[in-house]
Amino acid sequence: MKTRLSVLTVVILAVWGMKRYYADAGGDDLWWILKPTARLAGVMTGTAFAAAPGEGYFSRERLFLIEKSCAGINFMIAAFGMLAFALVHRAASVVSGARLLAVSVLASYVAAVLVNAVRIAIAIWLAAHPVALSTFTRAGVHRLEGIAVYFGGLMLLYELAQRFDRRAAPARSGR
Amino acid sequence: MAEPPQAVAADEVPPREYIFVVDVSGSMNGFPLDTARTLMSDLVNVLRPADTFNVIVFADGSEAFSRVSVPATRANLTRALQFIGAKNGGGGTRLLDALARAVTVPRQPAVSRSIVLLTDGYIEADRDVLDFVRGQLDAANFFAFGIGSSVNRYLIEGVAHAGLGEPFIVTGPADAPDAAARLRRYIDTPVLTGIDVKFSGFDVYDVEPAKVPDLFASRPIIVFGKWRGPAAGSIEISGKTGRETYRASIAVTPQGADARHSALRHLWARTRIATLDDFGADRVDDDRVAEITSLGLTYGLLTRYTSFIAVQEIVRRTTDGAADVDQPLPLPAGVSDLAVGVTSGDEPGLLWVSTIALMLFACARLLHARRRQSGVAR
Repeated sequence: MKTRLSVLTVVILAVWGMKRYYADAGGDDLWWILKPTARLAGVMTGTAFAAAPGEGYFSRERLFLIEKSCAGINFMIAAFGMLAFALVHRAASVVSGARLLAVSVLASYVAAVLVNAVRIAIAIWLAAHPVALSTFTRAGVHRLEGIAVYFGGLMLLYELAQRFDRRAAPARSGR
Repeated sequence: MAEPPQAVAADEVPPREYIFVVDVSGSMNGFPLDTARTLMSDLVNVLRPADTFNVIVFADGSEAFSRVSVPATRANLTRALQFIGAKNGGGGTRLLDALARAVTVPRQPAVSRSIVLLTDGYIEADRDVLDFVRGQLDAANFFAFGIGSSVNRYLIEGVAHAGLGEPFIVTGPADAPDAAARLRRYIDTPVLTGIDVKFSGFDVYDVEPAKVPDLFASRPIIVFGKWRGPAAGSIEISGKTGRETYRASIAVTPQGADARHSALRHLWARTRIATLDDFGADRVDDDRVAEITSLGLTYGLLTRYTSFIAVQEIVRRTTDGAADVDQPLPLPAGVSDLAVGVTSGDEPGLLWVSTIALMLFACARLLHARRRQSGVAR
């Protein structure tokens, strides 16, 4: 119980730290997530994104900018928190707690790049083919698309985490 | 034309108030904001303790340094510069709101108020700003200082034109100190404030400008107008100097007419056309178009509706179907590609994403608990 509480405290501090880092970071500081996201979104849409110093990644052809506010850090923070809370019962010792944190960080990073690239690819398509919904503005449609993709992404991630948890549990009990 | 005296004694200068309207949007970072600070420091250094100043910064919104203007002391200047330094705005620049805020700062009577606009001019609704300046000429003197690698000259020259002054534009750091010093000299000596021009004993019409700003040592005031009927009566000018109330009367007589001044009618017509064309853009109607057209034809002047065009009546292109060709339009020097209608794929805020994650987590826990309950019941 004490280990789990310690892990959860670390999770909360890590979330707060990531949020602080994100608030102060510039476009160039976030290259570690913007670059793979832009590359993946570019592959999905056949768009070439070039680095725009201080801003992010820019497609001159589509006039589309992947900048700080599109980095997917919010998704990564939420995914990290969700994974850590969902799997915290596996933290029986300091080592397993540390492993859980490392896996959660890595999984949330990979998921953020993948899910955010999908979201951006759809956003690029929507920008080129505006959807006329009388109750939503263009920005509203964009937000709705983001929420829907993130919802699907988090649901999938949670399901994968549960499957991993179920598969790992019998193996551990069988040992 | 009201000409200022060649030399102005210090006690003739009325109390002065300067309100700096400073653009703090991202494009002003670097030498533009540094130049703005230099200009403010230079100006405050030559002011008297009785003079006052204020600062209004604008970007996405606007904010005032002080509710009322503060005495021009070194300590207040330092605080004002710190205030500017702490403001770093985002994209859109809401100049009109900032100017409206500047005009409504509470003012002392008989003070010559000058509003100094410091911006690169990347704003929305340029023409609304020019209309606003023109409508406030009797409330404040407006001066525009354009700073940046690619200043919006339309705005800066337009504000200068609307405010009956000269534009000041700096495009590189090397020119900035000289330009700031020239602007400071241009605006630091008001001579006559609260000016009123009355026409007595003759029928005057189409007077430009309708509202008269203050007279500065470096800026004469020119009032154009026409009259009907006999040339008899007087023009009364009044205002306040630093010492006293100033009054002058100019007699209007037929003997005063001078054939050598015949160009004045064309100057009047040009000024009238410029006023009709440049201001009140949202009120373009048939009467205005007819008036501009009539002035252009009567005085032989080029206008929006009358042009000197030679029409070639031989049709050279005989086949149908003209082809549209997209022409590349380069951006101004030093302006990022991102200045052009870029879409960015912002992700949903952390609140939204966290809510989704929490909902998922809660739903999964609930389902898990129900499954376990039903398993126990069986």
